[in-house]
Amino acid sequence: MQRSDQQYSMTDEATGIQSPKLVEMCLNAACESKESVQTWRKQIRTLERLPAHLAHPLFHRLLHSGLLNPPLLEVFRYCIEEVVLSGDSSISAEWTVYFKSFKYLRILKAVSCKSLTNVALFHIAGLADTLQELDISCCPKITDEGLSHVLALKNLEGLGISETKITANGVQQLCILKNLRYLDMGGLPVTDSSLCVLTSLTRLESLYVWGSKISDQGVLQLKKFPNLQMVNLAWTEVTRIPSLQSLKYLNMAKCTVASIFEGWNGLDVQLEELNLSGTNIQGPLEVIAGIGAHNLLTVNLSSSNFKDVTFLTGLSKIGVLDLSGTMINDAAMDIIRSIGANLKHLDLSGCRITSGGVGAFARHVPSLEQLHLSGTLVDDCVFEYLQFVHVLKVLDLSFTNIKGFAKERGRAVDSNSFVNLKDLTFLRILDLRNTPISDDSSQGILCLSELTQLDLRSELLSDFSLQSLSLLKKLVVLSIEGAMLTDLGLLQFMPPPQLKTLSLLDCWLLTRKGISQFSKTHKNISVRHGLITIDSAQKNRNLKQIQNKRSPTLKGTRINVQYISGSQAYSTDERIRYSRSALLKLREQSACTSNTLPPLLSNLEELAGLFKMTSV
Amino acid sequence: MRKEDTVKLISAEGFEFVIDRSAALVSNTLKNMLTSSGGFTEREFGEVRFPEISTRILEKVCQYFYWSLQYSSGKEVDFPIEPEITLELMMAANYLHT
Repeated sequence: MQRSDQQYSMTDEATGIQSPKLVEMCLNAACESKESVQTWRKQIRTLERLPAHLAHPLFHRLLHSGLLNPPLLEVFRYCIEEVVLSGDSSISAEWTVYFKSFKYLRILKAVSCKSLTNVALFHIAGLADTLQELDISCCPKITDEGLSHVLALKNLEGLGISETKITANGVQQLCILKNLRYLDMGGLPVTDSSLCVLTSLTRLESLYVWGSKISDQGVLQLKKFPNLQMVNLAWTEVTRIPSLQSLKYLNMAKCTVASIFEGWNGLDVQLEELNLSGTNIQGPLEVIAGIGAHNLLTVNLSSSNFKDVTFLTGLSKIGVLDLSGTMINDAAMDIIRSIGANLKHLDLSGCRITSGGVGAFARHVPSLEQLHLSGTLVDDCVFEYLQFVHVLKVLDLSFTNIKGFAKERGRAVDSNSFVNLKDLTFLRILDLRNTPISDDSSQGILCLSELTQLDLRSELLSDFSLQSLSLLKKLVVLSIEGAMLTDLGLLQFMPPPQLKTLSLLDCWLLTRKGISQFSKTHKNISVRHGLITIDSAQKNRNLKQIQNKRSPTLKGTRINVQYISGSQAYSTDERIRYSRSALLKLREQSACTSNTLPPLLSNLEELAGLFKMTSV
Repeated sequence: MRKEDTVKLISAEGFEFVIDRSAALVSNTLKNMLTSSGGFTEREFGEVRFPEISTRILEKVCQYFYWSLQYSSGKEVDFPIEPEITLELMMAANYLHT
């Protein structure tokens, strides 16, 4: 109490550590154990006064830590407006009985609750006055009978019933829910005639009928929804979309497309986002040019059969463009130059683009923040062009031939090519996985001191690279995968102060002992390696996340390209390349050096010698 | 200690807690009350009443202020929260924006 103001403020600035918030600490204390729950749950009066923004985190934390059970639900009767139970397979009718008594429940999300039955929905029908949003997608036990209980929820504005056992007949009954604005019926056998019945839902704004039986005939009914803004028709037989004036978002992924907005002569097309990922487009030029959609902000053409992108010419507002996995080549890059003014995110992964192609647009994309060139034909020359993309934040150069050295005219020695990126002050994430980066060339990366995430995957990297990369002081995520790292090298590694994740997948020389030793000394860093088993709680959470991510390509409202991580694609056991005796020797070496701790370099030389031996 | 360097917090039952001004500033709500130039009486007299917060909770809150200062100066000590008061303390913390 004796210390003065100034002293405190000085120490504050010196360390910059923020103490945890008291609210946060109370939440943690409340969810600590069964006993603590038993103590506070008796304070009914306080619970009734608990504001929703405190009750919600408390409720959901209890749920995720497994402390929530049906009788305990009762104490939340007056303070919960929103419940997200997604992915919890223990949710059953026993739970929903209690939800019936929730006075102010507006939103109930129970996606992927495998034990949720029709009877459980019967209880939810009691929430008719308050419930506005219900999502029971991916609950396999729900049938038409369960849907009949949902019909009582007359105030419902959003309903998700995708991937349930509801039939086309059941879907037709939804026509009495006149307030519906959002309806997700993905993966259900919705037919043309059921869509026809549903046209009485005139307030509908979002309609998801992906994977349904709707045909070109049925899709004409869409014109009867005056407020329709979002339509998802992915994985259907639909080939033609009639002109829909209010439409802002259209997803026709995996369809065969013959025409969109055919015969549309109106001047103002609202369409902002178009997803044609994986489509087979018949006469691509006419299809898109016909739209005349100059308002398009986001276009996803990934893995479609596009070759010619001249139709993009007029799209001056475009911000996100995904052309990954298409047949386009350098010739198309001139188009990107002409529409690059507002481009923020460009994905050219897997296209036949060379460094010269990047050079064609690099000076004309002043807003570009994310550039994906994974699996393209670019080489180190690309850096000379990339230095003109001034606001670049994320750069993906994985699966390319980037060596880190560029040949310069009139010079005998190759120079560091990363130095060209030095002026890109916003660059934070650099992905160089599966490129031939070596210990020598990795030193070039050190000039990019602002990086927060660096991904490397190369067998030419060793302890030396790991040591030197600790000089990148702002790193939060570092991956050095498939590299020749040893226990000793890991032990001597001084991680950057903010490092949270260190991925060492497929660094097969590391032993369990070495990694656990590292984890012990650096408790704040989560290490990823095949030898470490994640603790069960974390595993459960991961599982839930996976379940929640169902069918991203179909449902995602934003373009969301997910890359298969290199670790999965290349998880072959590196050990098969070495003879058994050489392998044992290496392991021995690694183990004994970590005990006696000789200088690092001699260890490296020994390893290098061994590799030569085995290759001969 | 000068009077200007302290703040008086008064609980629902009328108990008075005199704490360092620097400790009170941990709370964003108090910070606004004590520093903004709106002519608040709180600022003039360095006195804040909490008719909603009981003595027991307010005592804990004051302890948290000092704990937080210690924490930011690099000293990591445990701050135990008894299960009996978690809910009320949470609501007080929410009100005090801390």
